[in-house]
Amino acid sequence: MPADISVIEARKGNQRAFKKLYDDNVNLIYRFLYQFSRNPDQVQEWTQRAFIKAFENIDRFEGNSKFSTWLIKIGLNEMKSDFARIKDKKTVFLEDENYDSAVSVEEEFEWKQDMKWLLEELDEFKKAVFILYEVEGYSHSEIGEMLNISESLSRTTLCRVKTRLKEKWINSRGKYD
Amino acid sequence: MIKPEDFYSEKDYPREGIKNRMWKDIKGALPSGKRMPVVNFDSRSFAFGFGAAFAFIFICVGAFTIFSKVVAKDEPVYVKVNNAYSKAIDEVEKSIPGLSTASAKSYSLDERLNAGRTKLKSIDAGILEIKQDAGPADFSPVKQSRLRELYKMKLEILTRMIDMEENGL
Repeated sequence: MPADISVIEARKGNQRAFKKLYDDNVNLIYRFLYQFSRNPDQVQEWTQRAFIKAFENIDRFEGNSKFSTWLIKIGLNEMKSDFARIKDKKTVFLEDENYDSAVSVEEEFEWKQDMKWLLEELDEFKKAVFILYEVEGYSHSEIGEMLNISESLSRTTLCRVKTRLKEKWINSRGKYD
Repeated sequence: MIKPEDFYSEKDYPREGIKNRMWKDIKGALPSGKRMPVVNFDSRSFAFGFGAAFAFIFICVGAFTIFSKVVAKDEPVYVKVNNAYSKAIDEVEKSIPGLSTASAKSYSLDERLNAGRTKLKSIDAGILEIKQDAGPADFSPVKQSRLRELYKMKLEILTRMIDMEENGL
């Protein structure tokens, strides 16, 4: 059953279609959200809440984007609301920095397995943009939709994250060489 | 681009048991009544349905009217004959205004007219008896024949009485 058919069937209340959507997307959303918390219980809760909200509001899903895009957006909102409550501030997802509208030329960036720890130092917003684009393969337009930001902000953020990662990587190498 | 398998490790994925438990919780949290409404009000469908209902009623009324007429046309022959006799007798009775109140011109004429009236009463009683005995649509052939004979006799008596009055015989 293709995803769009599953969505149509899920709208009719078909439990098997809900299960199909769950099976197709649970790994994807869980592994993504897991990058923002090392507490499996918390990640499980975000995942569950994302699916429940998605299923409850499936009539509102217009199908202009992928179901996974919509699901990740809901999952991110759940996570953001929890972070905002814990940190007693709006959310770290709201970027304070002023980005240049012009995107700087993307420097050559090569991912290395032991670079992952460097992501821990990034805030959630930057980390989300980086993972969604570089790992999950979403376009800047889709990322913009998920994070409620403009496409250009997503592009600029990614560029800056890559530059920062590269710098940190080089520095760390120099430290230990 | 980074391949997901190069980025994520095994611990980044939920184990089967966790996935099943999460699904169980999700399934339990979903409203059981999460179904498409059985009846979805749609104004256009409602208008079409309303029109169709009217059309159906008109068709039914028309069909019933036509059917009634056809059934009426298909009345058994004996019913038609009986009706024709009754009508003819009524017409004849109307054409003799003095019949019921006629005063006898002579003893013998008066006597004969009275006898005719008595016979007519007997015939009417016989016709009524046969009609009451059976409904208008279930006469047996014997009854039909008997009824026709009575009508015929009544007409003959009436004709004779008219002749008697006119000719004074």
